[in-house]
Amino acid sequence: MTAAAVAGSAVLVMTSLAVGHTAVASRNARIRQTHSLAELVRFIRSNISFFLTPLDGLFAAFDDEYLGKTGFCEILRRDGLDAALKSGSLDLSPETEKIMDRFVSKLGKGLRDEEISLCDYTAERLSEEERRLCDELERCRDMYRFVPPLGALFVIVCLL
Amino acid sequence: MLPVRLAKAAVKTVALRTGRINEIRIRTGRPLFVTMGNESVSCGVICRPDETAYVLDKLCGGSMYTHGDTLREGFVSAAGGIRAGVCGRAVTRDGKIDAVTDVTSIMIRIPQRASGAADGLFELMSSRGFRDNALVYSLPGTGKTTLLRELILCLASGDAARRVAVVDTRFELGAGLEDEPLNADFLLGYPRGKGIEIATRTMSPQFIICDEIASAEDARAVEEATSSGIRIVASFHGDTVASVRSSPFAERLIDKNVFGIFAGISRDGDGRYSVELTARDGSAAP
Repeated sequence: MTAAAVAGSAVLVMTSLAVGHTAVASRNARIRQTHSLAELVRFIRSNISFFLTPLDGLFAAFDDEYLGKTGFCEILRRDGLDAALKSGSLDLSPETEKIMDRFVSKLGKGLRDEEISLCDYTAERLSEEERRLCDELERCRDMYRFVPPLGALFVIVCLL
Repeated sequence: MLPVRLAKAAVKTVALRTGRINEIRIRTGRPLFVTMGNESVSCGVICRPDETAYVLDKLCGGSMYTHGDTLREGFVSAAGGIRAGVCGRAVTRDGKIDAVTDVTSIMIRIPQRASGAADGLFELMSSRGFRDNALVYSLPGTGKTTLLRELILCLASGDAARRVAVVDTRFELGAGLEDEPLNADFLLGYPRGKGIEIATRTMSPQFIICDEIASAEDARAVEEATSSGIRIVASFHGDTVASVRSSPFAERLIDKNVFGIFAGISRDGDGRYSVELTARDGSAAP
Protein backbone atom coordinates (compact mmCIF):
# COMPACT_ATOMS: atom_id res chain seq x y z
CA MET A 1 0.00 0.00 0.00
CA THR A 2 1.49 3.27 -1.08
CA ALA A 3 1.96 6.22 1.21
CA ALA A 4 -0.64 8.14 -0.81
CA ALA A 5 -3.17 5.37 -0.32
CA VAL A 6 -2.50 5.33 3.42
CA ALA A 7 -2.80 9.11 3.60
CA GLY A 8 -5.97 9.07 1.53
CA SER A 9 -7.49 6.36 3.68
CA ALA A 10 -6.63 8.28 6.80
CA VAL A 11 -8.26 11.41 5.39
CA LEU A 12 -11.34 9.43 4.43
CA VAL A 13 -11.68 7.87 7.88
CA MET A 14 -11.07 11.19 9.66
CA THR A 15 -13.64 12.89 7.44
CA SER A 16 -16.20 10.22 8.12
CA LEU A 17 -15.57 10.49 11.87
CA ALA A 18 -16.00 14.25 11.60
CA VAL A 19 -19.27 13.81 9.69
CA GLY A 20 -20.58 11.51 12.39
CA HIS A 21 -19.42 13.81 15.15
CA THR A 22 -20.98 16.83 13.45
CA ALA A 23 -24.29 15.03 13.03
CA VAL A 24 -24.34 14.20 16.76
CA ALA A 25 -23.26 17.72 17.71
CA SER A 26 -25.96 19.21 15.51
CA ARG A 27 -28.63 17.10 17.17
CA ASN A 28 -27.26 18.00 20.60
CA ALA A 29 -27.39 21.68 19.63
CA ARG A 30 -31.05 21.36 18.63
CA ILE A 31 -31.84 19.75 21.97
CA ARG A 32 -29.96 22.46 23.84
CA GLN A 33 -31.67 25.24 21.87
CA THR A 34 -35.11 23.77 22.40
CA HIS A 35 -34.35 23.54 26.12
CA SER A 36 -33.19 27.19 26.20
CA LEU A 37 -36.28 28.35 24.32
CA ALA A 38 -38.44 26.54 26.87
CA GLU A 39 -36.53 28.43 29.58
CA LEU A 40 -37.22 31.69 27.72
CA VAL A 41 -40.93 30.89 27.61
CA ARG A 42 -40.95 30.10 31.34
CA PHE A 43 -39.10 33.36 32.00
CA ILE A 44 -41.72 35.25 30.02
CA ARG A 45 -44.47 33.45 31.87
CA SER A 46 -43.20 34.26 35.35
CA ASN A 47 -42.58 37.91 34.52
CA ILE A 48 -46.04 38.34 33.05
CA SER A 49 -47.59 36.46 35.94
CA PHE A 50 -45.91 38.47 38.70
CA PHE A 51 -45.02 41.83 37.20
CA LEU A 52 -46.93 42.25 33.92
CA THR A 53 -43.62 43.36 32.40
CA PRO A 54 -44.03 44.60 28.80
CA LEU A 55 -42.44 42.39 26.16
CA ASP A 56 -39.58 44.73 25.30
CA GLY A 57 -38.65 44.85 28.97
CA LEU A 58 -38.79 41.05 29.17
CA PHE A 59 -36.56 40.61 26.17
CA ALA A 60 -34.08 43.15 27.49
CA ALA A 61 -33.84 41.30 30.80
CA PHE A 62 -33.52 37.77 29.43
CA ASP A 63 -30.06 36.22 29.46
CA ASP A 64 -28.99 32.70 28.59
CA GLU A 65 -25.35 31.75 28.20
CA TYR A 66 -25.94 29.28 25.42
CA LEU A 67 -28.33 31.42 23.39
CA GLY A 68 -26.14 34.42 24.02
CA LYS A 69 -23.22 32.70 22.28
CA THR A 70 -25.33 32.22 19.15
CA GLY A 71 -26.19 35.94 19.00
CA PHE A 72 -29.87 35.19 19.62
CA CYS A 73 -30.10 37.26 22.81
CA GLU A 74 -28.66 40.36 21.19
CA ILE A 75 -31.18 40.25 18.35
CA LEU A 76 -33.94 39.47 20.85
CA ARG A 77 -33.17 42.63 22.83
CA ARG A 78 -32.84 44.78 19.75
CA ASP A 79 -35.55 43.53 17.42
CA GLY A 80 -37.84 41.22 19.36
CA LEU A 81 -38.57 37.51 19.42
CA ASP A 82 -39.87 37.13 15.87
CA ALA A 83 -36.74 38.69 14.39
CA ALA A 84 -34.47 36.66 16.67
CA LEU A 85 -36.09 33.37 15.60
CA LYS A 86 -35.91 34.29 11.91
CA SER A 87 -32.31 35.52 12.11
CA GLY A 88 -30.83 32.10 11.44
CA SER A 89 -28.77 32.18 14.64
CA LEU A 90 -30.45 28.96 15.76
CA ASP A 91 -30.78 25.58 14.05
CA LEU A 92 -34.19 24.40 15.22
CA SER A 93 -36.08 21.25 14.44
CA PRO A 94 -39.15 21.80 12.19
CA GLU A 95 -41.45 21.02 15.12
CA THR A 96 -39.69 23.54 17.40
CA GLU A 97 -39.98 26.15 14.67
CA LYS A 98 -43.69 25.48 14.36
CA ILE A 99 -44.22 25.72 18.12
CA MET A 100 -42.33 29.01 18.33
CA ASP A 101 -44.08 30.49 15.27
CA ARG A 102 -47.42 29.87 16.94
CA PHE A 103 -46.15 31.30 20.21
CA VAL A 104 -44.83 34.47 18.59
CA SER A 105 -48.05 35.03 16.63
CA LYS A 106 -50.10 35.03 19.84
CA LEU A 107 -47.67 36.56 22.36
CA GLY A 108 -48.76 39.94 23.66
CA LYS A 109 -52.19 39.79 22.04
CA GLY A 110 -54.14 38.65 25.10
CA LEU A 111 -54.72 39.50 28.73
CA ARG A 112 -52.71 38.11 31.62
CA ASP A 113 -54.46 34.77 32.06
CA GLU A 114 -54.42 34.09 28.33
CA GLU A 115 -50.71 34.86 28.12
CA ILE A 116 -49.97 32.58 31.06
CA SER A 117 -51.95 29.75 29.44
CA LEU A 118 -50.11 30.33 26.16
CA CYS A 119 -46.73 30.18 27.91
CA ASP A 120 -47.66 27.05 29.85
CA TYR A 121 -48.85 25.30 26.68
CA THR A 122 -45.77 26.35 24.69
CA ALA A 123 -43.31 25.36 27.43
CA GLU A 124 -44.97 21.95 27.68
CA ARG A 125 -44.82 21.43 23.89
CA LEU A 126 -41.16 22.46 23.82
CA SER A 127 -40.34 20.06 26.66
CA GLU A 128 -42.07 17.26 24.76
CA GLU A 129 -40.10 18.12 21.64
CA GLU A 130 -36.87 18.18 23.67
CA ARG A 131 -37.64 14.69 25.02
CA ARG A 132 -38.43 13.46 21.52
CA LEU A 133 -35.16 14.82 20.16
CA CYS A 134 -33.24 13.22 23.04
CA ASP A 135 -34.88 9.85 22.38
CA GLU A 136 -34.18 10.15 18.68
CA LEU A 137 -30.53 10.98 19.32
CA GLU A 138 -30.15 8.04 21.70
CA ARG A 139 -31.56 5.70 19.09
CA CYS A 140 -29.36 7.07 16.34
CA ARG A 141 -26.19 7.96 18.24
CA ASP A 142 -24.43 4.70 17.47
CA MET A 143 -25.49 4.97 13.86
CA TYR A 144 -24.01 8.47 13.52
CA ARG A 145 -20.81 7.39 15.21
CA PHE A 146 -20.14 4.12 13.47
CA VAL A 147 -21.84 4.14 10.05
CA PRO A 148 -19.74 6.93 8.47
CA PRO A 149 -16.35 5.39 9.46
CA LEU A 150 -17.58 1.92 8.49
CA GLY A 151 -18.64 3.36 5.17
CA ALA A 152 -15.23 4.92 4.73
CA LEU A 153 -13.51 1.62 5.56
CA PHE A 154 -15.73 -0.16 3.07
CA VAL A 155 -14.75 2.32 0.36
CA ILE A 156 -11.10 1.92 1.26
CA VAL A 157 -11.34 -1.89 1.10
CA CYS A 158 -13.13 -1.70 -2.24
CA LEU A 159 -10.51 0.64 -3.67
CA LEU A 160 -7.70 -1.50 -2.39
CA MET B 1 -50.12 54.31 15.57
CA LEU B 2 -52.44 54.06 12.54
CA PRO B 3 -52.18 51.59 9.66
CA VAL B 4 -50.91 53.22 6.48
CA ARG B 5 -54.30 53.28 4.73
CA LEU B 6 -56.06 55.01 7.62
CA ALA B 7 -53.15 57.36 8.25
CA LYS B 8 -53.19 58.53 4.64
CA ALA B 9 -56.94 59.12 4.77
CA ALA B 10 -56.62 61.11 7.99
CA VAL B 11 -53.76 63.23 6.67
CA LYS B 12 -55.70 63.94 3.47
CA THR B 13 -58.77 65.01 5.45
CA VAL B 14 -56.78 67.24 7.81
CA ALA B 15 -54.92 68.87 4.94
CA LEU B 16 -58.20 70.23 3.58
CA ARG B 17 -59.01 71.99 6.84
CA THR B 18 -57.38 74.33 9.33
CA GLY B 19 -56.94 73.38 12.94
CA ARG B 20 -55.52 70.54 15.00
CA ILE B 21 -56.80 67.02 15.42
CA ASN B 22 -58.09 66.45 18.94
CA GLU B 23 -59.43 62.93 18.49
CA ILE B 24 -59.30 60.05 16.02
CA ARG B 25 -62.12 57.52 16.06
CA ILE B 26 -61.63 54.02 14.63
CA ARG B 27 -64.71 51.85 14.41
CA THR B 28 -64.70 48.43 12.72
CA GLY B 29 -66.97 48.45 9.70
CA ARG B 30 -67.60 52.18 9.97
CA PRO B 31 -65.91 55.30 8.61
CA LEU B 32 -62.79 56.72 10.20
CA PHE B 33 -63.58 60.04 11.90
CA VAL B 34 -61.33 62.83 13.16
CA THR B 35 -62.40 65.59 15.54
CA MET B 36 -61.00 69.03 14.87
CA GLY B 37 -62.10 71.72 17.32
CA ASN B 38 -65.77 70.98 17.81
CA GLU B 39 -66.26 69.31 14.45
CA SER B 40 -66.25 65.59 13.65
CA VAL B 41 -65.16 64.91 10.09
CA SER B 42 -65.38 61.63 8.19
CA CYS B 43 -62.19 60.58 6.40
CA GLY B 44 -64.11 58.55 3.84
CA VAL B 45 -62.56 55.12 4.52
CA ILE B 46 -64.15 52.19 6.30
CA CYS B 47 -62.05 50.65 9.07
CA ARG B 48 -61.32 46.95 8.71
CA PRO B 49 -61.17 44.52 11.67
CA ASP B 50 -57.44 43.91 11.15
CA GLU B 51 -56.84 47.67 11.22
CA THR B 52 -58.68 48.05 14.53
CA ALA B 53 -56.63 45.15 15.92
CA TYR B 54 -53.46 46.80 14.61
CA VAL B 55 -54.24 50.10 16.35
CA LEU B 56 -55.05 48.34 19.63
CA ASP B 57 -51.82 46.36 19.43
CA LYS B 58 -49.83 49.55 18.84
CA LEU B 59 -51.56 51.37 21.69
CA CYS B 60 -50.76 48.46 24.01
CA GLY B 61 -47.13 48.45 22.84
CA GLY B 62 -47.49 44.87 21.72
CA SER B 63 -48.22 43.81 25.31
CA MET B 64 -51.97 43.90 25.79
CA TYR B 65 -51.73 42.05 29.11
CA THR B 66 -50.06 45.10 30.70
CA HIS B 67 -53.26 47.04 30.05
CA GLY B 68 -55.76 44.53 31.42
CA ASP B 69 -56.89 46.75 34.31
CA THR B 70 -57.32 49.85 32.18
CA LEU B 71 -59.05 47.92 29.39
CA ARG B 72 -61.64 46.81 31.93
CA GLU B 73 -62.14 50.51 32.73
CA GLY B 74 -62.55 51.24 29.04
CA PHE B 75 -59.28 52.93 28.14
CA VAL B 76 -55.63 52.39 27.26
CA SER B 77 -52.85 54.81 28.09
CA ALA B 78 -50.09 54.75 25.52
CA ALA B 79 -46.69 56.38 25.37
CA GLY B 80 -46.62 60.14 24.97
CA GLY B 81 -49.69 60.72 27.09
CA ILE B 82 -52.03 59.37 24.44
CA ARG B 83 -55.20 58.07 26.00
CA ALA B 84 -57.56 55.95 23.96
CA GLY B 85 -61.08 55.01 24.90
CA VAL B 86 -61.75 51.38 23.97
CA CYS B 87 -64.95 49.42 23.80
CA GLY B 88 -66.05 46.10 22.44
CA ARG B 89 -67.65 43.04 24.00
CA ALA B 90 -67.53 42.84 27.78
CA VAL B 91 -67.03 39.52 29.51
CA THR B 92 -68.74 39.85 32.86
CA ARG B 93 -68.70 37.86 36.06
CA ASP B 94 -71.03 38.59 38.98
CA GLY B 95 -72.05 41.82 37.33
CA LYS B 96 -68.48 43.11 36.99
CA ILE B 97 -66.45 43.39 33.82
CA ASP B 98 -63.83 40.64 33.82
CA ALA B 99 -62.36 41.34 30.42
CA VAL B 100 -63.04 43.21 27.19
CA THR B 101 -62.77 41.29 23.96
CA ASP B 102 -63.61 41.84 20.28
CA VAL B 103 -62.69 45.52 20.46
CA THR B 104 -64.59 47.37 17.75
CA SER B 105 -64.24 51.04 18.74
CA ILE B 106 -61.17 53.03 19.64
CA MET B 107 -61.17 56.76 20.33
CA ILE B 108 -57.64 58.18 20.43
CA ARG B 109 -57.33 61.47 22.24
CA ILE B 110 -54.31 63.48 21.15
CA PRO B 111 -52.68 65.24 24.12
CA GLN B 112 -52.19 68.94 23.72
CA ARG B 113 -49.51 71.09 25.31
CA ALA B 114 -50.71 74.59 25.97
CA SER B 115 -47.77 76.52 27.30
CA GLY B 116 -48.96 79.26 29.63
CA ALA B 117 -52.40 77.71 30.17
CA ALA B 118 -51.87 77.56 33.93
CA ASP B 119 -50.14 80.94 34.33
CA GLY B 120 -53.29 82.70 35.56
CA LEU B 121 -54.06 80.00 38.09
CA PHE B 122 -50.46 79.89 39.29
CA GLU B 123 -50.34 83.67 39.70
CA LEU B 124 -53.56 83.65 41.70
CA MET B 125 -52.27 80.85 43.93
CA SER B 126 -48.99 82.70 44.36
CA SER B 127 -50.70 86.00 45.21
CA ARG B 128 -52.55 84.21 47.98
CA GLY B 129 -49.36 82.69 49.36
CA PHE B 130 -50.14 79.19 48.12
CA ARG B 131 -52.52 78.76 51.06
CA ASP B 132 -55.43 77.51 48.98
CA ASN B 133 -56.53 74.24 47.52
CA ALA B 134 -57.72 74.65 43.96
CA LEU B 135 -60.61 73.02 42.13
CA VAL B 136 -60.41 72.87 38.34
CA TYR B 137 -63.65 72.09 36.57
CA SER B 138 -64.92 71.78 33.02
CA LEU B 139 -66.88 69.50 30.74
CA PRO B 140 -65.06 66.38 29.51
CA GLY B 141 -62.48 67.01 26.82
CA THR B 142 -62.19 70.72 27.55
CA GLY B 143 -58.66 70.90 28.90
CA LYS B 144 -58.56 70.08 32.62
CA THR B 145 -55.70 67.62 32.20
CA THR B 146 -53.80 70.04 29.96
CA LEU B 147 -54.12 72.81 32.54
CA LEU B 148 -53.05 70.55 35.40
CA ARG B 149 -50.05 69.42 33.40
CA GLU B 150 -48.95 73.01 32.87
CA LEU B 151 -49.54 73.77 36.55
CA ILE B 152 -47.18 70.92 37.49
CA LEU B 153 -44.52 72.66 35.43
CA CYS B 154 -45.21 75.99 37.12
CA LEU B 155 -45.15 74.59 40.64
CA ALA B 156 -42.32 72.07 40.42
CA SER B 157 -39.71 73.83 38.32
CA GLY B 158 -37.51 76.85 38.60
CA ASP B 159 -35.59 78.31 41.50
CA ALA B 160 -38.53 78.17 43.90
CA ALA B 161 -39.65 74.70 42.84
CA ARG B 162 -42.12 73.21 45.25
CA ARG B 163 -42.40 69.54 46.19
CA VAL B 164 -45.23 68.18 44.10
CA ALA B 165 -46.76 64.70 44.13
CA VAL B 166 -48.80 63.83 41.06
CA VAL B 167 -51.36 61.04 41.39
CA ASP B 168 -51.44 60.07 37.71
CA THR B 169 -54.07 57.33 37.68
CA ARG B 170 -54.48 57.35 33.91
CA PHE B 171 -50.87 58.10 32.93
CA GLU B 172 -51.91 61.45 31.43
CA LEU B 173 -50.71 64.15 33.76
CA GLY B 174 -47.05 63.28 33.35
CA ALA B 175 -47.20 62.90 29.57
CA GLY B 176 -44.53 65.00 27.92
CA LEU B 177 -42.93 65.92 31.25
CA GLU B 178 -40.55 62.95 31.42
CA ASP B 179 -37.50 65.01 30.54
CA GLU B 180 -38.39 68.10 32.54
CA PRO B 181 -36.21 68.84 35.61
CA LEU B 182 -39.12 68.80 38.04
CA ASN B 183 -39.25 68.57 41.80
CA ALA B 184 -42.12 66.14 41.40
CA ASP B 185 -43.01 62.53 42.18
CA PHE B 186 -45.36 60.70 39.87
CA LEU B 187 -47.58 57.93 41.23
CA LEU B 188 -48.41 56.22 37.96
CA GLY B 189 -51.52 54.08 37.74
CA TYR B 190 -52.31 54.36 41.46
CA PRO B 191 -56.03 54.44 42.28
CA ARG B 192 -56.74 58.06 43.06
CA GLY B 193 -57.76 57.81 46.72
CA LYS B 194 -54.97 55.37 47.57
CA GLY B 195 -52.44 57.40 45.64
CA ILE B 196 -53.32 60.56 47.56
CA GLU B 197 -53.06 58.64 50.83
CA ILE B 198 -49.65 57.17 49.92
CA ALA B 199 -48.32 60.49 48.65
CA THR B 200 -49.44 62.18 51.87
CA ARG B 201 -47.82 59.60 54.12
CA THR B 202 -44.62 58.84 52.27
CA MET B 203 -43.55 61.59 49.85
CA SER B 204 -43.86 64.70 52.05
CA PRO B 205 -45.27 66.85 49.27
CA GLN B 206 -46.26 70.48 49.51
CA PHE B 207 -48.77 69.99 46.70
CA ILE B 208 -50.72 67.01 45.44
CA ILE B 209 -52.17 67.22 41.97
CA CYS B 210 -54.73 64.73 40.72
CA ASP B 211 -57.30 64.49 37.99
CA GLU B 212 -61.00 63.61 37.95
CA ILE B 213 -62.08 63.19 41.54
CA ALA B 214 -65.04 60.89 41.05
CA SER B 215 -65.79 58.94 44.19
CA ALA B 216 -66.38 59.29 47.90
CA GLU B 217 -63.07 57.53 48.58
CA ASP B 218 -61.22 60.07 46.42
CA ALA B 219 -62.97 62.93 48.22
CA ARG B 220 -62.14 61.46 51.63
CA ALA B 221 -58.48 61.18 50.68
CA VAL B 222 -58.51 64.83 49.53
CA GLU B 223 -59.97 65.89 52.85
CA GLU B 224 -57.42 63.95 54.86
CA ALA B 225 -54.52 65.28 52.81
CA THR B 226 -55.64 68.89 53.23
CA SER B 227 -55.96 68.39 56.98
CA SER B 228 -52.25 67.45 56.91
CA GLY B 229 -51.39 70.87 55.55
CA ILE B 230 -50.84 69.69 52.00
CA ARG B 231 -52.33 71.78 49.21
CA ILE B 232 -54.43 69.88 46.74
CA VAL B 233 -55.22 70.80 43.15
CA ALA B 234 -57.91 68.50 41.83
CA SER B 235 -60.26 68.44 38.87
CA PHE B 236 -63.95 67.64 38.63
CA HIS B 237 -66.35 67.23 35.75
CA GLY B 238 -68.88 70.01 35.40
CA ASP B 239 -69.35 73.24 33.47
CA THR B 240 -70.16 75.30 36.56
CA VAL B 241 -69.41 75.03 40.27
CA ALA B 242 -73.11 74.38 40.77
CA SER B 243 -73.00 71.37 38.47
CA VAL B 244 -69.84 70.11 40.20
CA ARG B 245 -71.60 70.53 43.54
CA SER B 246 -74.44 68.32 42.30
CA SER B 247 -72.33 65.24 43.06
CA PRO B 248 -72.60 64.47 46.79
CA PHE B 249 -68.87 64.02 47.50
CA ALA B 250 -67.93 67.22 45.64
CA GLU B 251 -70.72 69.05 47.50
CA ARG B 252 -69.26 67.93 50.82
CA LEU B 253 -65.79 69.21 49.92
CA ILE B 254 -67.11 72.53 48.62
CA ASP B 255 -69.42 73.07 51.59
CA LYS B 256 -66.56 72.39 53.99
CA ASN B 257 -64.64 75.17 52.21
CA VAL B 258 -61.82 72.81 51.29
CA PHE B 259 -61.19 74.75 48.08
CA GLY B 260 -60.21 78.40 48.06
CA ILE B 261 -59.70 78.82 44.31
CA PHE B 262 -61.98 77.70 41.51
CA ALA B 263 -60.79 77.50 37.89
CA GLY B 264 -63.47 76.87 35.28
CA ILE B 265 -62.37 76.02 31.74
CA SER B 266 -64.65 76.57 28.80
CA ARG B 267 -64.36 76.51 25.04
CA ASP B 268 -66.11 78.85 22.64
CA GLY B 269 -67.58 77.99 19.27
CA ASP B 270 -64.25 78.62 17.53
CA GLY B 271 -62.51 76.13 19.83
CA ARG B 272 -60.69 78.76 21.88
CA TYR B 273 -60.20 78.01 25.57
CA SER B 274 -60.71 80.40 28.46
CA VAL B 275 -60.12 79.94 32.18
CA GLU B 276 -62.37 81.72 34.66
CA LEU B 277 -60.69 82.11 38.04
CA THR B 278 -62.55 82.73 41.27
CA ALA B 279 -61.17 82.97 44.80
CA ARG B 280 -63.13 82.44 47.97
CA ASP B 281 -62.34 85.24 50.38
CA GLY B 282 -63.67 84.01 53.64
CA SER B 283 -67.18 83.79 52.24
CA ALA B 284 -69.36 81.03 50.85
CA ALA B 285 -68.12 79.27 47.75
CA PRO B 286 -69.32 80.78 44.49
